[in-house]
Amino acid sequence: MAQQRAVDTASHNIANANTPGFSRQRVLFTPTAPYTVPAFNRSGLAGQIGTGVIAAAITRVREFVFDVQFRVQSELLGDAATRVATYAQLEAIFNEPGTNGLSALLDRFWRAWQAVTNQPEDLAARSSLVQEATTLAANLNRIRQQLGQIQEDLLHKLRLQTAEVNSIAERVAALNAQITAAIATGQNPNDLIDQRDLLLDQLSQYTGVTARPLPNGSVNLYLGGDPLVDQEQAFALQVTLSSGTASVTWQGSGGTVAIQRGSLAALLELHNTVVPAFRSQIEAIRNALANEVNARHQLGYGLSDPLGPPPGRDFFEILASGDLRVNPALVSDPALIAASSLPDTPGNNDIARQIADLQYALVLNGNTATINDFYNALVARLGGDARQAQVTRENQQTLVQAIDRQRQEITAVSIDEEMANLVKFQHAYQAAARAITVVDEMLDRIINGMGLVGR
Amino acid sequence: MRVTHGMLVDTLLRNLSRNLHRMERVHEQITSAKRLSRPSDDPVGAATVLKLQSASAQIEQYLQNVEHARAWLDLTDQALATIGSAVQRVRELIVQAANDTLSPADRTAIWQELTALQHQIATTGNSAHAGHYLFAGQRTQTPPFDMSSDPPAYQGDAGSLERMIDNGVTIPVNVRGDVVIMPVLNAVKAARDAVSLGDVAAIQTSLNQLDNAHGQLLAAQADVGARVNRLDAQRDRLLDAHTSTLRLLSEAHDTDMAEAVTRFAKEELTYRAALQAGAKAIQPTLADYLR
Repeated sequence: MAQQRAVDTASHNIANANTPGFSRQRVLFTPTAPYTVPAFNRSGLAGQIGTGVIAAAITRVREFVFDVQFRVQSELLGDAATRVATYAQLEAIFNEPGTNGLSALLDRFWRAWQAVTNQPEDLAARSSLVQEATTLAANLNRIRQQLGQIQEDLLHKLRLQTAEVNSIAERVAALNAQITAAIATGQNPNDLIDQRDLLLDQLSQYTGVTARPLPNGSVNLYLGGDPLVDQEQAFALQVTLSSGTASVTWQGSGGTVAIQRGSLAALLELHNTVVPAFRSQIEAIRNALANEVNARHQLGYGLSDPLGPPPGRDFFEILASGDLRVNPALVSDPALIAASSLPDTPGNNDIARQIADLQYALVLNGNTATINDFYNALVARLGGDARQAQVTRENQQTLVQAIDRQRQEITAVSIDEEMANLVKFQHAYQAAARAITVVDEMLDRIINGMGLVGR
Repeated sequence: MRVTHGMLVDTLLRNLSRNLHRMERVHEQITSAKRLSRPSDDPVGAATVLKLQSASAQIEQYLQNVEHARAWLDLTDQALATIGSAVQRVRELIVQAANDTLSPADRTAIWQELTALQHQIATTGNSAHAGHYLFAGQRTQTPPFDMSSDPPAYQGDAGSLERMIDNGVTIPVNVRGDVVIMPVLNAVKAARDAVSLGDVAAIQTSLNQLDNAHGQLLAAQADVGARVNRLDAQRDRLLDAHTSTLRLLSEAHDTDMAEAVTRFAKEELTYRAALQAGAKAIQPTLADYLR
């Protein structure tokens, strides 16, 4: 019977060789209590006689230490992987270095102003300036809107992952109930514990959870001191958005959850800090462009403006939506572009030259950077942060894989090993069966062969 | 150490994926011919590329500005030369008219030719470049010389047309009609009046007036020549700067093809070897040999 258990276990191992989170199982054999215990009335036979074997327990082969290490590193991996994905999106939005990025469009905008200084009377040069300015404004708007879109995507991901954490917490609580019930009746619920360990592995990529095993077989989970799972009860999380800042709170009490590490922490930081920072820098560029160009443009005269004070037209307009656009009056009549500092002097390009020279003006970052420099620094910082996230992810991946490998060395099912074990247990089973046959033959001799003398 | 088939397969897949990832990167560098496709490939390099791209765009624009200024000055130079030869002819006629022995018919002929020359000089003074008058100051849309009055009245202003030829450097491209051409026209008008009166002394005075005006004209021509030289020197400097900027840009941005292709071949070799070894390693188990 015991050998049969061992064969069953080996085939269970083989069947689950590719099941995620499965730990190989072993049958603990123990000899049964020997025949005759020492006593005065013991029989006179020599020594104790063994009475065979029983399968005392079926255990998981697993090291708890590696589980803890794996989860800590997996939290950091989840964090870095989330950042890498978002930075890849950000890099795609900025599309640098390229011929259509904002940097190139700024260059073309400044060049268009210089082209106007060459021929301030020329409508073709003015129309082309309007075109370049419109393209520049459209791309600034696009980048701003796409950053907003990314923020929404991040919020959506945050909600999905919070729901996933809730679902894992519920399943852990349910498994806690099954496991404690099984242990209370003296069983070894190996497969259920494997399932729970796998859930904890999955949970670790989302956030750093403290796990505390209880003597009754339950595992309690804590998030920043508050229980996420208390034995058979799970506490649900939710995402709250207040004035653009997202946070994870408890559904019951509404208190903020201290999320540490894991992809949830990364999503919160990206949503609340990183993306808004890029957005505000793009808005700083937009405002500097509009304010500086307008301040000069307002002092100038278009081709058809009469004598008198300057008409004070804006070149750019910032709409209530935050979008930048070229003053529609200039779009419909480029002659109104104020290139001249005097009325009725079409050859005067004073204003156009001042605006073209804005490309060298230190108007951003506390008057220490030109618009182009400021943008280049933004791109460099984006690249640096993205690079750092990539490096961290690769390092964490290597670490997680190394720890997982150590864990696999202990827990993974080796088909060769199980096949060899099968053969071993089969031999034992066969030999035991043969022993029964021998006893059977002996009994046959006694029962059917004795007392027939002289018959 | 225990090694299971699952671990073998995991390791194989992981390494194949890393290998493919590296191949993809090199492949991208080769097909795009760019070393950098996104800022994270090389954050500092990306900022350098942007800076060099801007610098090259600025230089290209300054080159265009220089060409533009050059064309304007060339036309100005031609117009001044045309006026100069007309002045030569005016001078011959005045010297001829100063001769007492001329008959009234001769003087009338001289007067008529002077009138024609005055008209020609004023018309040349109204020459334009792409519809913009050369000698009108900043009032480039108005003919500088009003032909309806005699001598033609100057309608331009005193403005100068500045062109940007480098960061913070501008050069005026125009010559003012009131300073350079108007004195010539006034001298011719004086000569015509003196000739029609037959006043030899006044003719002599107008000759002096013309010589002064001619002197100013020659000075303006010399100034235009000097500005053309300055533009040529600036163009050479910009072209040199452009060449070196493009070279730096290429170093920062372009793929070193020989190196990239070699690297690709190496990655491909590794990939094939990994596939071959992996296919062999993950196949057999003890089950193949148990009967």
